[in-house]
Amino acid sequence: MLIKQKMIFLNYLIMISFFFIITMFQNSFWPSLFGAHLPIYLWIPYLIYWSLYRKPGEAAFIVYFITISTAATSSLMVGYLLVCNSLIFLNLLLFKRVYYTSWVFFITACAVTLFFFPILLWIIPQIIGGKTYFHSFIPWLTGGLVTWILSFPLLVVFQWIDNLTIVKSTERRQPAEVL
Amino acid sequence: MHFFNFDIKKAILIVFLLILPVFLMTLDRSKTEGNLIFRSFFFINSKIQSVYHSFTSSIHQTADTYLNLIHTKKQNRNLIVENKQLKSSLALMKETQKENERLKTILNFKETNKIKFTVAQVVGRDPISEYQLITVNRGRNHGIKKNMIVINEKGVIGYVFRLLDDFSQVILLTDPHAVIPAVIQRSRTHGIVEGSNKNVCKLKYLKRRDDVKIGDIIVTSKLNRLSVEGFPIGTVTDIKKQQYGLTQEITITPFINPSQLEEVFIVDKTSSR
Repeated sequence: MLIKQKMIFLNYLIMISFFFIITMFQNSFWPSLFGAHLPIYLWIPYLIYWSLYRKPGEAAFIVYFITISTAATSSLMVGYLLVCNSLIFLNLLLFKRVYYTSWVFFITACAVTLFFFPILLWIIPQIIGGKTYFHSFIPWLTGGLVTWILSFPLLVVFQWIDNLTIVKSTERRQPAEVL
Repeated sequence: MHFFNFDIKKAILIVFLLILPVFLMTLDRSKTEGNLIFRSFFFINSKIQSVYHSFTSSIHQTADTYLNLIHTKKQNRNLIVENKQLKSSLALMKETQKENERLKTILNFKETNKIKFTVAQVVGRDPISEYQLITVNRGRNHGIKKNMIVINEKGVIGYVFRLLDDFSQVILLTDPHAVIPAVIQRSRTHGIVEGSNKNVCKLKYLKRRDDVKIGDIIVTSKLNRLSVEGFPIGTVTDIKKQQYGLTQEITITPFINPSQLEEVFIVDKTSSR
């Protein structure tokens, strides 16, 4: 029992460290290579992974974690980002009701979320009355596409971390268990 | 038929997740950002970003060294010629400087403000491309204060937004949340520059009859004791006047390119003599 708890703690530690590594790669390394015209949103596959393969409580914690971390490096207000990330999470909870464990499901969820995320980010301040930004079409598509391509290797790493520390992530939640 | 089976605990979680963000949105930005959790994330992120930055800068340096070697010989020849020209100009400049000092003494002119520039390197960018915040590797320990103007050789970049001991975040003037008091250089009409999208800014709160023309240069005006007036922001590229209304809508194209920032200068005007 104690070993299992230690492994879960280790899993959280590695996953959170990996989150910082990928998001700072996205904020620092990637723009220095490709400039600001090709943005990537690596926290989205991370959020999707937690939403699909972990308990809703754990995923909710990660929603807040991701939001605060991202907002700490952005001029976007915490509340707006939290609404976006929460809506993605809640949408994925519904998505999980037709859940199957294949990687195709994760990739599909990434594609849908990456396409709708900038729209969501634009709509929410419109509704609430905050400042909105003109979203250029090309960075939105290219950035989403690059992130989507990167989401598969990310899934492999996430599953490798899970296999290393806990049981196979795809076996952790069965369709009957989810929501 | 699991699709219609809802767990009450999960339903509560969903409601909680929906309500809290709405509550957070109503909070003032300073209340959420000043707290320990937010600052901790800023600290961790900055440290990792600086590691990535040192890695990428070493790659850039290696590539630059190789490329520079190719052009060095040609540049050297040109520089020798330029150096000779500059030496002759310098002699003339020394004379002008002496004359300047003499005239200052006659007029009893006193320099009240001393401007100090702190060089900083950009180590990170905003994760959301539509918003423009950069992280630089200079902070409170280097004498940086909130709201200090940040420039480069072309013009104003933005101002210091958040601070840590060794890092600070600069909000670019093209960010939708950026607000910089400005003045039209030619007519001395005051307004506020606000970011609107990646390429342009807006000059707001100018009266309908205020004197502004396309091509006018916009410079910073005095905001508080930390900011410095007179730094170029951009040029007026479009003026729109509605048929009715008190103000006019002015579009400014900034001198800087927000996507090509590597080194910046943070302006400190606090010291005086």
